[in-house]
Amino acid sequence: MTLAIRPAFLLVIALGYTLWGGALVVLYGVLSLGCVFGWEEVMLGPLTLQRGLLLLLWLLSVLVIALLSWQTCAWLQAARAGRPTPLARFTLWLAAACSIAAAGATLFMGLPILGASACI
Amino acid sequence: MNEPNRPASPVELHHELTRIWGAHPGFGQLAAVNHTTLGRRFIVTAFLFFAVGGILAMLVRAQIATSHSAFVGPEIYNQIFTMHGTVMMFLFAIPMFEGFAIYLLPKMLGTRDLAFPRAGAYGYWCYLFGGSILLLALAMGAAPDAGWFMYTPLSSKPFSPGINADVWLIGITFVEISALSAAVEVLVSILLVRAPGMSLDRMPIFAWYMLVVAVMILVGFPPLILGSILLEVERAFGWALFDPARGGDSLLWQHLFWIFGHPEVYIIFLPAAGMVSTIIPVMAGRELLGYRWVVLAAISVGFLSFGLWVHHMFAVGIPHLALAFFSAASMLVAIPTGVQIFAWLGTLMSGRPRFNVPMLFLCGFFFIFVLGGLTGVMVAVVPFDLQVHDTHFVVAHLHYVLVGGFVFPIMAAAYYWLPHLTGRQPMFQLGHAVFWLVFIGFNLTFFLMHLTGLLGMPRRIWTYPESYGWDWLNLLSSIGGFVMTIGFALFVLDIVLQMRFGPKTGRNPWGADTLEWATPVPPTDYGFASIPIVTSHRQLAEDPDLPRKLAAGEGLLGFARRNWLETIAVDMITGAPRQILLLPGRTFLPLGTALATGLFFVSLLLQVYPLAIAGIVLTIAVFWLWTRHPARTADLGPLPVGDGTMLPVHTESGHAPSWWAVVFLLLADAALFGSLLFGLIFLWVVAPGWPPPEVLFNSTAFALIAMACLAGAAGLGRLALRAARRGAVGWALVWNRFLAAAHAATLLLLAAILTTAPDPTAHAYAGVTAAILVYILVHAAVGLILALHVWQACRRGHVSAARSLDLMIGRLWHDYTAVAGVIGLGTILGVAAAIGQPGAG
Amino acid sequence: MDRVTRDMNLRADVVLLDLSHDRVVEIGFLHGARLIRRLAGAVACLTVPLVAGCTGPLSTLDPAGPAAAAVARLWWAMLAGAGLIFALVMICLLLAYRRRTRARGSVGTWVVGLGLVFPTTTLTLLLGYAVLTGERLLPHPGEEVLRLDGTARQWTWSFHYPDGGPAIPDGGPLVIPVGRPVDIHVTSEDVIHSFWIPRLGGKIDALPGHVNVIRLQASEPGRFGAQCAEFCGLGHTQMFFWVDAVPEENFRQRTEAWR
Repeated sequence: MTLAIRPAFLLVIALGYTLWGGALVVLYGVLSLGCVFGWEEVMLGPLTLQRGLLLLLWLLSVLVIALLSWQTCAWLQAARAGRPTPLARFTLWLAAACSIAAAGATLFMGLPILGASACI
Repeated sequence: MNEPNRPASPVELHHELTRIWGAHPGFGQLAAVNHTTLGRRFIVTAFLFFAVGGILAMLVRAQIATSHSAFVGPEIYNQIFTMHGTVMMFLFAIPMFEGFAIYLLPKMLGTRDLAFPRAGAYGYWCYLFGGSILLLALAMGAAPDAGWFMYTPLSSKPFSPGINADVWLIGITFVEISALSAAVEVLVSILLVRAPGMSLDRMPIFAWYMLVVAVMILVGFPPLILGSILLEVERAFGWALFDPARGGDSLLWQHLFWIFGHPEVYIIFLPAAGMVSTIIPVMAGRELLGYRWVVLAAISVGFLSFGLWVHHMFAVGIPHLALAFFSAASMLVAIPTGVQIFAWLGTLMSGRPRFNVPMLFLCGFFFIFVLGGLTGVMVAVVPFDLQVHDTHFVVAHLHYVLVGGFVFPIMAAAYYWLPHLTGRQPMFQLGHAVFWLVFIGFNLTFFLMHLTGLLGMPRRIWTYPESYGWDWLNLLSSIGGFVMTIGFALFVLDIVLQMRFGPKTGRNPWGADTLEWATPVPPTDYGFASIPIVTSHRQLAEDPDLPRKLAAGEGLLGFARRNWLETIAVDMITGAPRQILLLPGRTFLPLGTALATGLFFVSLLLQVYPLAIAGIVLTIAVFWLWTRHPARTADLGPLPVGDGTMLPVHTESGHAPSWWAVVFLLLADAALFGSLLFGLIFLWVVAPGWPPPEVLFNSTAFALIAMACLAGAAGLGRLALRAARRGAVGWALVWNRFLAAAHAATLLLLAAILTTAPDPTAHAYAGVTAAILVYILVHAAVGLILALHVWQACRRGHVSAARSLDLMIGRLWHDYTAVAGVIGLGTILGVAAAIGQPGAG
Repeated sequence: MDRVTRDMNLRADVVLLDLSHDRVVEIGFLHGARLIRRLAGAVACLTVPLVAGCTGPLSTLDPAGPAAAAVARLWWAMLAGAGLIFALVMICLLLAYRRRTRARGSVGTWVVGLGLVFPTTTLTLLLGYAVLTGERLLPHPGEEVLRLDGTARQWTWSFHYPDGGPAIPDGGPLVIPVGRPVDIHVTSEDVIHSFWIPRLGGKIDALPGHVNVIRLQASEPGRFGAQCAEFCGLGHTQMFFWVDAVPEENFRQRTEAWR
């Protein structure tokens, strides 16, 4: 597969980290709202509604960025199978690496959901 | 069209190009728009402000050198430390790297100038005038005194009734125009104005860093600009925004400030890291290890730095989990920093590093910056930060990061590029002494300060009793500060001596492989006599004869055509040549525009509001004159570039640099608007005193009609553009007329809503709602002005099927205004409905 | 048996460092971790010349309560780790100039190994340690907790007990009982201030319109300094008060006296 790299591809490079930023804002926002509306007092099985929701959103955002990473890696692999120009290799590698880094960052950032107190 | 006549000799070409690109001597220098001149001006001015900031730091150190000091009282001391921080951050660090970027980038990218020379000059004057306002206030004893982060309510009218805080808000906003204009200019130039063949993977690493920094400025500065506008409106007109007694919240300011303030640290660090990444490979005699990893690291730092602003707010009472998110994000940013550090170390280890003055400063950079980074990880740890926050430990940390991460690399860069700037060889005997004085002085001052902080000394206290045991630490810190100052004084002497007496240097004294060393040194006004075609990312190393060939006009555009200032614009990714960029030459317009803008800001400061309105009108009027440069009444068609190929000029080829500039300006605009909407939601959720006593409830119909008008304007803008592209300028005029009417109608509707809206001085809900309405109103007004401009351009014959750039830019603006208007008005209606009619249950 | 020997050894070390016999006995019965922290602290402070130690009324390195002690421990641990990393970087820099043979410029070793994997591992561990420590310092609900309300204004604090208890006179020392957690609910009437007793624990901002809570506890009697930590205008420097930690009986007596 050959992929014509157009200026819009710069957006793909930025997409992973943009989603990471979105995940941070959503997690912080839901946490703040949850503490205001008392979601920490509502129990859902072993978890509070607050923590359950945060876990779900966290894992969902990791999943979405991981899918993006998988896609960008697939592009890179496909290009490597052909005879890519150094430019294509560089650009596709950068997109894949940025996506993977963003997925890792999202995973790392959400780790405290596993332990820290939500509303104190 | 035939190839233009080539000049008979390189010397003749040089004279022709100098006549076209240069500014006239004497008074004519004020009309200079050339990047080399502007870069130098930025660097020199920033250094002068650095001297001012340094003197202020000395006053601080003199005051707290001993317990019970009677040097100055708190009134003066508060002004001194506030101005020290403000000057160093806004008037030294940012303009300094802007200066280097403006000076270096076009040369590194193998092109003759940046995309918008006049915007660069305008930015410089705004910086100079805004900075002068602050210095003038300092001289008159009316400088800001609420700390450089200006926390409300201390900076609000009741607790800072004087003009001091207004000076900060207005002066800094004025200066920030230069940061934004430089960011747009740098971003568009890196993406579009490169030497043909310079694809992304062949870009010099410094350009990658500056690309990231420019985007960061565009997203990071608007929140502070918004915060400053809102706080000034609260101070001047009594709107309720940050006042907790009226539904506001002091935390809103902190969020807006630090969403700017943290990325700001990396905005300052990354250009310096870009210089380190440029200099180290040259000194190591090999390529940068892991080029693409370093690019990845720069992008990662750029993004991650937006996710840690709350670590400045760990003590404001945010839940532990939220703190932990930001703690984790703060640690994350250390990882790409580590990648860069080890890429540099690996480059040195696997090369044959030379040891000279630039390298000495880079070793100092490693020493100091790594320590600053390590204490940075420490303060990212919440419990530890709660102890050392607002103590001298943090003061020590931030100086390790900023002096280590910025001042040392800049001094290395100064010694490295001085031969380029002056054309003279360095005289390094003094350089070693400068390094050791600054290095030892710095560490004496700030290493001990960590302990001072751990022993409990808070920031910003003007005196302390002997019994606390801080005396010896502070005394040694002060002594170190003065040693450092002697070092900087020696640095100035060294530079002056080199400029005056240094022996002439040949080209490329360091054996570098970046293209800035392919220009004559000191550089000519036009930079390159002809533009290189890039085939490698180490062009100069592979073709050492390149400078001669370029000077002989063997590259592209190696001629002086019709007195035009020409350079080439390329495809963002591949670097394939796309357009001939016709740049404006020397002009007094930027100075005039900055003076008009200055009239606006000074009138605001002195609260002479009619004059402020005159300032705005005047600024718009002068900006209108800017559009005369590219305006033409006939198509030029494709023109030869010198290698047998033809390219269209930028005004006749669609997505010109100015179109992209508007795209990026709208990105900054969207960041500002997003911050405003965030403010409304934040106050609603967090601030005390909600729900408001009164909501906007009877304007739904007007708001819906305004949304329809804005959407209609966007549609009409598209119709006008389509007509123009068909060559049907008459139809474009018709659609444009309707477009103007739609914007005018929106203005009237929004004004009507504003007159019936709840009183913005009564509650923060009403204050932010009114701010959103004013935001949309301003955009509709600009849309109207653009429509008037298009009308004039059509009437004068400046628009044709090919020359439809004005309408393309208009279309962008009308589209954005429609989207922002619908979102803004929709949010207002939604929030009003959700809060409900007070008293109705 | 083992443990006794270890304690004896530790005690012997303490005797070397602290000449006050009373304190040796007291320290000898402390938990091992606390002892190690004290030892490390004492050693580190003794290495600094010209100073009597890390003491002082506002010293975070001379903790007098569990929160401040946990943070001080965190500090010494991070200092040790930071020292090692700093040494690593400096050695690399030195080797770049000292080595005869050039290292292989391997992206895998330098950029990925040292630049990426190494900090990621270290930081994950640190994040865990930090969050667990932070978690223990939070004002979790508890039975024994004493509540105290503090209000800041330029440039003074006033305190009272919300359950009708006696007020503490303005400017007078704030009195708290030893060994009992105290939740201080702080707010401000004007600008932002920050409540901070360094020897007991971290700080919390006093914000107009908000009430923030910090849990502190004194583990030994004494008089500690408290300083406003957020710049609050002309009188910021003078916004200082003393805190007396007294045994529970004395606490009752003294608070009764103000009634």
